[in-house]
Amino acid sequence: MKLLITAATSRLGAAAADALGKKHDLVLTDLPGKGRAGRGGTGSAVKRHELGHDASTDSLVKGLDGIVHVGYGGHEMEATPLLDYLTRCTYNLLTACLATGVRRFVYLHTLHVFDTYEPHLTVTERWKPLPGTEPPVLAAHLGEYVCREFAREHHQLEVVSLRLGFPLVDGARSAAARTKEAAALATADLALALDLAISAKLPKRWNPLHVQSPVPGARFLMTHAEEAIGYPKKASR
Amino acid sequence: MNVLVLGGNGMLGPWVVAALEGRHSLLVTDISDLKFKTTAEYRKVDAGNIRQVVAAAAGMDVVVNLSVLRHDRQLAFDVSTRGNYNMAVAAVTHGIRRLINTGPHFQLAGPNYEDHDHDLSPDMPPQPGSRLYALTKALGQEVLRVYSTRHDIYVQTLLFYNFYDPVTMRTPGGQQRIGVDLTPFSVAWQDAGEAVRLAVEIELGRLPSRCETYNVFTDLPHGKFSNSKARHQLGWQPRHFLEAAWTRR
Repeated sequence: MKLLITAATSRLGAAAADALGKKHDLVLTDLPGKGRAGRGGTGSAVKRHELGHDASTDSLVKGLDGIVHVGYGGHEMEATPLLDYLTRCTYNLLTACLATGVRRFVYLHTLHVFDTYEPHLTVTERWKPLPGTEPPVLAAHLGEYVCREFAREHHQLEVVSLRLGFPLVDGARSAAARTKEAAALATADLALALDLAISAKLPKRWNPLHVQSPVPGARFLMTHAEEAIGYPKKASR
Repeated sequence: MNVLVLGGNGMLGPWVVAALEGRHSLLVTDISDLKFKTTAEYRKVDAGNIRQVVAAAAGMDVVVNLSVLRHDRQLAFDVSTRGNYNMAVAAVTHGIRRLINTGPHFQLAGPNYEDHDHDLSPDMPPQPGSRLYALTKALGQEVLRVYSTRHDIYVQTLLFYNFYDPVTMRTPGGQQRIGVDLTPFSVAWQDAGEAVRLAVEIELGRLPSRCETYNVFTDLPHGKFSNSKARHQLGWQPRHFLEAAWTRR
């Protein structure tokens, strides 16, 4: 499949590129001036793009099979540009998907929207997100809001919001377990979940899914992720 | 109370200012030159500029946001979404507890509701859909809702749609509707301004939560939406029923 990955010079964007690069044909993009090396996780060149609401965004996504749009963790910016990027540019990308026939849109979000819940609670995808006002989480939450409304209204779209665990740990699931962090996500598990989110046949147009490594005492239940894309159990077999 | 009005030059601004003038000390702001007569202080402020909004909010007790931009995509996000973020940051910065937000009814009841259902209430979960105007305003409302969960801020959102001169039965676009029905979310300008005044003046302790939304339209027989919350909670009583539009000639 031919896929676009945004914020490709960020750690999460680069991890996504590493995860998908072996099986898929990737187009990497990031904002102009962002990132030092100018190369993504696979070493591929990164196309600089504003993701504006002009025809160039349509051109960027035309012919793609899917988009992986990095929400939370894609950019370290002040509140104003970050809110603008994750609302307006998400809107622009989804509008371009509609204009060019791209069906699959995967938004990378964060499980930090559930930080307020007590740790003993069985937080699944059915629970209401309770974002705080810190700009990285609030902006990412608004980006997911945009995704949800496009999925609600446009039958041709298949939208997945992967609410990712934290911290992101390089390596295998065992590395995540060693951190003793209850919501840790290993890059190997990110790769599994991302590939499934891109390629699985989805039961619904709108699919908010919880993704962390199934470490001992895992903080979040992944009931819908298992049902929708087979992560983590089916994918691990 | 000291009241900051953002977007005061818009269609609703003069009616809100008329309802508040003489009762409160007003600072009316907009990005352009003042377009109507008022004794209130006036200042040019871009609602999309966080520094300007925070500066204008110093010493205020209430912020009323009437600003909206619908057509240009960048400006729509700047004003309709981040304008509310700027207002929330200003409230936290200056300890302002009362925020009044306004917007179109479809920022909550988008086509998914309106095309299918009746008795639509302002307490439904928002389903704005993906149209630029509706979604950018809904995102702004979501920002305020989130802020109200984490800070001592009371947010009241007043939803409107069509405004009428009750004498001529004309809309701002000059369209006259007599005996041909109207959008069942319509209100006379004067009644709209009065609803904002009531939201400014209601005791915060009487509000059931820190985030309340009202459908503001006159009593209409369609049964499409419900305005009972505005009537009962704010004590709003529309004086113009626009019946010339919805009764057959």
